[in-house]
Amino acid sequence: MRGTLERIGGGVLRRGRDLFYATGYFLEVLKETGRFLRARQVGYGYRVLIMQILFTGVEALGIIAVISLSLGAVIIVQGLNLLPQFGQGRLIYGILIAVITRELGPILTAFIIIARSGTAMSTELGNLIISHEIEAYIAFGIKPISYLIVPRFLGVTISLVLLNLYFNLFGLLGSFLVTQFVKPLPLGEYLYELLSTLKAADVISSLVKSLAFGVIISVTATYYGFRVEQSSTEVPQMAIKAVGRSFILCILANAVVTLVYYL
Amino acid sequence: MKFKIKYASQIVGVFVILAFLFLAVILMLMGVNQRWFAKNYLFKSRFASGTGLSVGMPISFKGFDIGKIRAITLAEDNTVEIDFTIQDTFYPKVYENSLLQLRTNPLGLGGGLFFHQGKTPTPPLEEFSQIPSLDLPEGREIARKGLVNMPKDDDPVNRLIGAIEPILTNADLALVSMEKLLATVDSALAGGSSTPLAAVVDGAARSAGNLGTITAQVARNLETTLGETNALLANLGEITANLRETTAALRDPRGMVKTLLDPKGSLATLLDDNDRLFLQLEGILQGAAGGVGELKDFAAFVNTTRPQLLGVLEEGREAVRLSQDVLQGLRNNPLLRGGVPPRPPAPTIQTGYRDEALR
Repeated sequence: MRGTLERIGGGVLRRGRDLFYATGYFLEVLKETGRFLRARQVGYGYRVLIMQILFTGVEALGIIAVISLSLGAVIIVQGLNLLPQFGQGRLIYGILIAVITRELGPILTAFIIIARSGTAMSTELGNLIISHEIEAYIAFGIKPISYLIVPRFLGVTISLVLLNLYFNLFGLLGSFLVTQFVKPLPLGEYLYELLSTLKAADVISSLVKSLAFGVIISVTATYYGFRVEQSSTEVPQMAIKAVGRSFILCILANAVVTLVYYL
Repeated sequence: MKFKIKYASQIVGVFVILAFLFLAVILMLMGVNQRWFAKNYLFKSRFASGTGLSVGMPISFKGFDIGKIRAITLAEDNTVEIDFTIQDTFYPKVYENSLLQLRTNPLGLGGGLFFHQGKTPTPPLEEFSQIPSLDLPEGREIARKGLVNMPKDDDPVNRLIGAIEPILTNADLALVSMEKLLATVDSALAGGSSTPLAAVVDGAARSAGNLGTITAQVARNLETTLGETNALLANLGEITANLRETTAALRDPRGMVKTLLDPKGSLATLLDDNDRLFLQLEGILQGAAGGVGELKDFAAFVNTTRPQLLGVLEEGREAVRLSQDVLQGLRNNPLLRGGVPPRPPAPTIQTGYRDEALR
């Protein structure tokens, strides 16, 4: 009985300490990000930021384009076949915006970034610790968070917001072009109906979600990357943890933003 | 150096600029399409009730949405005040004596808030001014004076409802009359009235009661009479059957009548021969009785000798069987064929009293 209580108490305290540490880490990242953005001159961090956007954003554009085009085309084709049968053909635009812009666009983009960049960042930082490079940075007076984390944090967050915009571009407009091969639709009518249905709240909700997902993915991946202590076997373990936690946190954040949208 | 790495800044720049350009274009088109930057003119109106009104409800004029409701409040005098906007392109059409009309129909189709333009062209009303509604006396007065252009309902549902309304009113009146008539008839039938119809109905009801008593009495009498009639009919049936037989006998010319009435017949002879024939008959009968007695004795004798006869028959059958065996033995030549074959014992068919006693 006493042992059980000790285990439970120890677990709660450990998790509390982890949460406290993670919160402190997040605040430190935010503080260093503010310092990075206020800096008058372009430092080495800027180059890392550009490379991070290149790897996370530009290189993921292909897969994002394919997914959003397919998804948008399927929704339009299915909707144009089914909805007019109930006299609700105009609902296709509402469905398209709800799926592409508000819900699936941000979350699918986040999943792709978790799979591509979250694992990469976590593994890279873990390997830096194993090879004692972090210690070298500290020895040279370079803050690891300022130099390694902030550019990644900004790069992933900016990339996710931009990729979400591209997802919408391909999902809403590119899918229209694909649909022309299957079921031709006048562009003017399509754009008019789409823009009449699309509300500012949809755009804001989508941008807020992608921003939140970007923050979650970058902070979680770098946090678990830094949790590696000394063994190379810890690197994949922490990468797996980073992916799992990122998925869960993104889904929770998605639910919260959706609830706020409907309040 | 790899191209992508060498020109990373430019590639990322294009990537960022294109994304923000897309966002800007979309926002601009949305703004134009949804009139974010256009001027809307605010007006007020009052309605008797807020039923059917909602914030954001469009205001229609000749099939076009020219504005929408922005706010709905309940005023001090319990009327409902609405703030609504008119788009700048339609603002010049807001003449004096213009009206608002809230149309509803039970099917939920063809309803809405409609703007009716004043008949006389005037400069547009100033912003924030009051436009009366047809719900309140002020608006009805304008409509009664014919100061406003109010087109007939174009909505087929409203037209249909308008055509059905007089029919429904007439049907309602007919139902009310029918209900009164039924109430009067009901009262008369219940005896709660002094009209001639009530007296007739009352008399008919009393007669019906007496008729019931009489019917019960007649039924009782009929039941008694019916029982007696049935007994009489049974007797009559028997008498008729006897008569039928007698008639048949009488009808036969060689029958009973002739035999009985013939002076030389058996009956006359039997009655008129000094008991001679009677005595002969008696003797015959006594002789027959003696024969029957002897027959009885013979039967008793046969019964007593039956076991012995059966024993003789059984012995005779055994002797025949033995002689058959002897003959079979001779035929088979016992020196060569092994003698008389064994015969399985056969149960006797007949059994004597002794056998039965031993069993």
